[in-house]
Formats: sequence, structure tokens, C-alpha cells
Amino acid sequence: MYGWAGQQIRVNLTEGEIVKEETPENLRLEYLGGRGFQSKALFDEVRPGTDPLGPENILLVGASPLVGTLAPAMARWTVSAKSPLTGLIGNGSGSGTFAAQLKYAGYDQIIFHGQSPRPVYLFIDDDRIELRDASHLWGKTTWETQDSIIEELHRDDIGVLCIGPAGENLVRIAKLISDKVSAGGKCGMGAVMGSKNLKAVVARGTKPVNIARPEEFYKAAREAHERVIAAPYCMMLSKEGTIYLPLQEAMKGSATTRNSQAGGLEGWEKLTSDAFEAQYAVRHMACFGCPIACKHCYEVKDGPFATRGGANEYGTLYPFTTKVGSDNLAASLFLTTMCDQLGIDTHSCGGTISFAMEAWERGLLNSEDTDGLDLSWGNTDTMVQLVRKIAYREGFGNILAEGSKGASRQIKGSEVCLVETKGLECSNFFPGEKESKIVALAFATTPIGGSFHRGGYLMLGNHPRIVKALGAEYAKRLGYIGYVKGVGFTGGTDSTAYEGQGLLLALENDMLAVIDSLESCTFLFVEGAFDEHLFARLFSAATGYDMDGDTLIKAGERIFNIEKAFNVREGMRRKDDTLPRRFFGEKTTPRGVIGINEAKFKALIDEYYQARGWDMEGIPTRKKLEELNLGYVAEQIPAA
Amino acid sequence: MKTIKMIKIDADKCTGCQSCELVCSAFHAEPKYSINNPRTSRIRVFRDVENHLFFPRFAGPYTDVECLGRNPLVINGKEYPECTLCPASCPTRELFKEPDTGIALKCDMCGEPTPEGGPMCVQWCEKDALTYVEREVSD
Repeated sequence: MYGWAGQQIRVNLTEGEIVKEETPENLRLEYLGGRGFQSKALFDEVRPGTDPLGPENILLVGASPLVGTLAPAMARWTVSAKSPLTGLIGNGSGSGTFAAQLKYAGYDQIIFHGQSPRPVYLFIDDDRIELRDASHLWGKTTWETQDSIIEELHRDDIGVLCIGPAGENLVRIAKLISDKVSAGGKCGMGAVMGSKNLKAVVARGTKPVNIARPEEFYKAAREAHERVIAAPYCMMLSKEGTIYLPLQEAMKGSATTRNSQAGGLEGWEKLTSDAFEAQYAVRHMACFGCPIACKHCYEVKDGPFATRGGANEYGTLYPFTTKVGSDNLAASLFLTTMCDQLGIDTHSCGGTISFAMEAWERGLLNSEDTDGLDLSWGNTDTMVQLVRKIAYREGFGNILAEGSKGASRQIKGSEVCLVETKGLECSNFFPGEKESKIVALAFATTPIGGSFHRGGYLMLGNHPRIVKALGAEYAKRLGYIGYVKGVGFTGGTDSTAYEGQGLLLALENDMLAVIDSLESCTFLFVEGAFDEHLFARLFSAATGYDMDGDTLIKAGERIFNIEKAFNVREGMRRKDDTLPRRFFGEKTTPRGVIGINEAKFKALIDEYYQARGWDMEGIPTRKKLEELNLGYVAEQIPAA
Repeated sequence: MKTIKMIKIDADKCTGCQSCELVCSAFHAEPKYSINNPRTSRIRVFRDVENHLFFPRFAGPYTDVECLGRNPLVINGKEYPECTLCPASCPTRELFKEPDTGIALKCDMCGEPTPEGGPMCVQWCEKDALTYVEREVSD
């Protein structure tokens, strides 16, 4: 087998049975790997109405044909299950060395069924696979777990993927951690793992990933590598990491402040990459095989927030600063490490705490409800206590451990404070004056909920398909608007453009499905260091199956549609593809016109559904599904 | 005069990406580039993520007996076994041995002649943690 390892592992945790199976050829060719494999398995094997935290849910972890090869930055693992946070399809993705180790051990993915009667971890050592007792690891943080496993196995050449106390305690915003600092598992994937009594997955591999056409692959990989290091966006990430974004958000007026009540970013100067580098930066760290190294490690040497950790990312920074009304960088680093150790998703955690802070501000909560804590904006001591309480479901933390939407059911009148779609806390989104409307559309429609991990930021406005459909002049106006120090605004040119964004988002959906299924880093595709054609060359040379860029995108479309179908089967309709109420309505502010025009947004949803080949309720049509070789899926969802 | 070939390691610049391992294993595969497997690489990066320590080591001498060196090393305040930074292919560990055969691996500066642009790991190291140095010495 070339590219793929060729085998997958099925583990029945209830019975303690482990079966190795061949990774089927049609699965490989139609769904590529990682996220694609998993989305198909979820549709095929998880019946509608299944309890996400019950034994009937399945949990999948996997890699791709390009993981473990010389192609740059193909280091990711994806984890999927039905989400306990949204009740819909859920997945998250992380990096580190685990995915590569799984491949080197000889496996493409692992599928966990059932529920173990006692805490276990799965140990994969090449051909040997066993479930081992994890009662001594239960209750340990992710860092302690990794150290204990290394000590127990007398090996440090392993990839460890584990949950912390939050996952064990079925916290609905719990995540997975690999290599201590690489996080994945939005939508509460950590809780699903905890519900299965599965503490960790450990992989150690000594086998090669085989390449079908070696010279051709090397040439493509080297070209890919050179394109990455020549790409201004990638090199900017190398220098600044994702924390170039506070400056951008300040320039765009689109940072989310105090639970997305305002788009300003008071104190942003204290949060920039310059401020970070000057105070807490230690060195840069790369994911496996990546020449960028965008993870910027940190150390806060002294004071109440003394800590160290792997990566100060915008995705860990803003949930614990602007979102909760704080400009304390050291505190956000401390909370980031805490979340990594306890195994809580930072986006959802900051989103849930900021929801509670707004409820406090509105007088919907008092200190009796909050175990005596003062939930005023920016109270960093309270945040530290809340994160711990959430992980261990202590007192008020037991309510917040349900995520913001779940918590709102227990806090009277607090629905107005919710900033989520489909139950997932909206990652950084505020419809500021310079925020492209594609971002709003992405947050509203993404099947996993309030996130733009399914499109909205790839800047594909100049993609030939879009140019062909809309004309080069108009296409330039569309897509994400970036801002780079010394360069100015990049990407789309018109933040007021609605029309056409639906067509563009549909393409980004499909492109990201390919990226996630081949387990590549999405940053390579922003501003076009990579494109589908280069991807196709790498894929074809590695696997020996010739596929062009268009065929890859078609596979992406198939993957995206089966995910949508999963949600439709669970009852999701057009009414669910919307934004938090507070983002609708245009307002003129000193920072320009902010907010979303509701009528234009409605028309944009129409356009998007049409571009997707769905009906106006957001249900994929039989015609579209048959075109994607998904006729059997049409049988299981309501007719469009 | 003869030329001594060296690869200088600047561990402070290493990001732990392991591209060097990947290209080394691919280059030394038969046929060339047909596999990717860090286990068969002649350079391995020691990684301690928590302590922000990344340290590339080249496959050095083969030794058929273990050494007496069990001296603790302290780096950035954390203690490591001396083996951590040792380049030897030795009986006490699997490092720098082919996984299937146990045959010891040794860096060959990518053979004779050294590839244009330097050894492959140097070419793929974007952070200049590895640099190729040639030094003239008298016989």
C-alpha cells in the first residue's frame, strides 16, 4: 500500500475486542482520509437520536495518506463523533506527532465503539495492539498522563493523545491533547472519549510510509516546501504566529469584546505579537514536518500567573482576553496552559465564561449562584477558579460545564447572552465594519456550529472558478479581509459585498474538506501558497492513484454533503443556519457601520444553498447527492 | 590538505519539525525517496515540548558495548540522562538502528560526493539549525 497505511483498527470497548481491517479502497478514493473517513463512518454507523455520551456513539481518530511523508505540514489528526455540545456532527483537529506515529505503526484510523467498564488506554506498538488498564491515570492532567505513560512504557518515542479531568467528567466543552500542547476536539470530543472510559491512545510505529512514485513525489514535496517558505503569509506566521491577529482585528474593528457586545479591542496594544515577544516568548515550535513553526512557546517567569506552555495562539488568546474584557496577557497564557492540562477547549471555555459574565452584568446571576465569585469583566482570578470548577464540575462550574447553551437553560433569562450557533460558542466573530460577510455566512452555516473551520478565511476570491462565475473585477471584492503589518489590507476588498459570498463559501467548504481529510495545515492555503493542483500532485505521486485538483474538490464536496446530511437527519433545518441575534441590524458607530443586514443575509443564505445544490430548507437534493455518488444517503434524509 | 565535512548544530534555532529526519530516511531509501520513516533516519531530534528543548543528533559511532556514562545532564534546570544527547548507536537503545534488521546507521554526509547545496537535512532545515561546514586541514 502506498500513501495510506492500508489498515484501520476497530475497538469494541464494551467487550474489549480489537479487530484490524483493511481500509477499503472505495473509502480511500472517495473520502481520502482523516475527516472524510470519519464523516462517512458517522453517517453510516451512528443512528439518528443517538445519545452522544452513550455507548452507541462512536469515536474516530485518524490520519491521512500524506501524514508522515515529506510533504510539508501534513501533521494533523482529526477526531470525530456525534457532539455532546451540539447534538450534531462534531469534530476537532490537532497536530503534534501522534498522527505520524499512527501511520508509522501501520494504521489510517481507529474506530472506538461501546463503553469500557473501567478506565483503559489503547496502546499501539506496530502490530501489537492492546487495551491497558488506566485506573492509575484517571484523574491525572494531560501532562501528568503523558509523563506517566512514558515512564510506564520506558519509551519516549511515542505519540500520546489523551483527555484530562474535563473529559473524564463529561464536560461538554472538553478536548483532546497530543504532545502536551497540541489541542483538538471542538464540540466536546473529550467528553465522548471520557464517556467511553478511554483515557488515552498511544501509538508507536517503526514502519515506513511508502511512496508510489518516489522521484515525482520528492519533486512535488520540494516544490511545496519552497512555495511555503516563499509565501508572505506563511513567513509572517513564522515570525509572529497567529497572534498577528490582535493588530488585524484592531484595524478591522472586528475583535469581539465582552462576549461580543462590542467590536472594539481596548488594550489590544498589550496583546500584540510585539508585546508577547518582548515579555514571554521563549522559542518557536513546529508541528511535524512543517517549515513554518507558527507555535510560539511561552514562559511567564514569576508573579501570580507564572506558567509555561506550547503555543500562544489567537485561538487561546482572545477567549481569555477581549472576549472576557481583560487585557492581561500573562493571565491568558496561564489559562491556556490550564486548559491544555485539564483538557478544555479554549474557544468554548472563554465563550462560556463570557456568557456567564454578561449574565452577571445583567443581574441574572448573583454571588449566591456563583459560589461567591465576582464575575465582573476582566476578573482574572475568577476566570482561573472557573476553569478549575468547570473541569471538575464543582459548584457553579457544574452548570458552565454544559457549555453556554446548556448553562443558559439553568440560568433564567440568560438566553439573550448566548453567542453561539448550533450550540457551539462562536469563535472570534464580530461583524465589524471591515469584516467580510463571508465570515458571517460561515459562522451561520458551518455544520459543526459557530466556527469558521469550514470556510470563510481562505481568500479564494481569485480562484479560477470564482473568477469564471463572477468576473475578475467583482470576484476581487469577495472573501476574507486580512491585514498585515507593513502591507495593509489583504484578501477581499469589499466588506459590504453580500452577493457572491455564497458561491465562494461553497468552494471554501469543499477545499477545507480536502485539506482536513488529507490532514494538512490550512495555513498553507491562505493566500495560495498551496492549491488543489499541487495537492493533487502530492496525492497522486504518494498513493499511485491519479487524481486531479477538480476530482479532489469533488471528494471535498462529497465529504461536506455527507456531514450536512448527518445534521439534516438529526433534524437540522434552515432556522439553525443563523447567527446570534445581536449581530443582526446595521448600526452606525464611531468605528463605521457594523452588523449584518438581515434581508441581505437571508438572500445570501438562499444563494449559498443554491450554490450547494440544496433546497431552501438547506436539505441536499437527491440530484446533488446522486451526482456525488451518495444516492444511499438520500434514502435516509427527508426529500428536498 | 584534506577537507573535513561537518554539520554544525545550533540547537537554539531548532523548532523540532523533524523535516531533517524525513528527508534523511527518504534519501537513503532504495529506491531513493520511496519511503518516509524517521526510524531509519541518521539524524533524530530529541524533543521535550514542555521544556521547549529540541536537539538534533547525528548518528555517530557504532559501539558494541554500553558505556559507563550515566552522568546526569542539566539543561534549563531540568535533569536528563546523558544518553539524551549521545549520538552513538549502542546496545542499550534502538536509536540509530534499522528497525527490521538492527543494523547500525551512521551519517554519511549523504555519500560521495556530498549533494550540491549540502547534505539533505541541511537543505531542508529552514531555520538554520543545521549548517554545512567544510574545513581544510593539513594531512
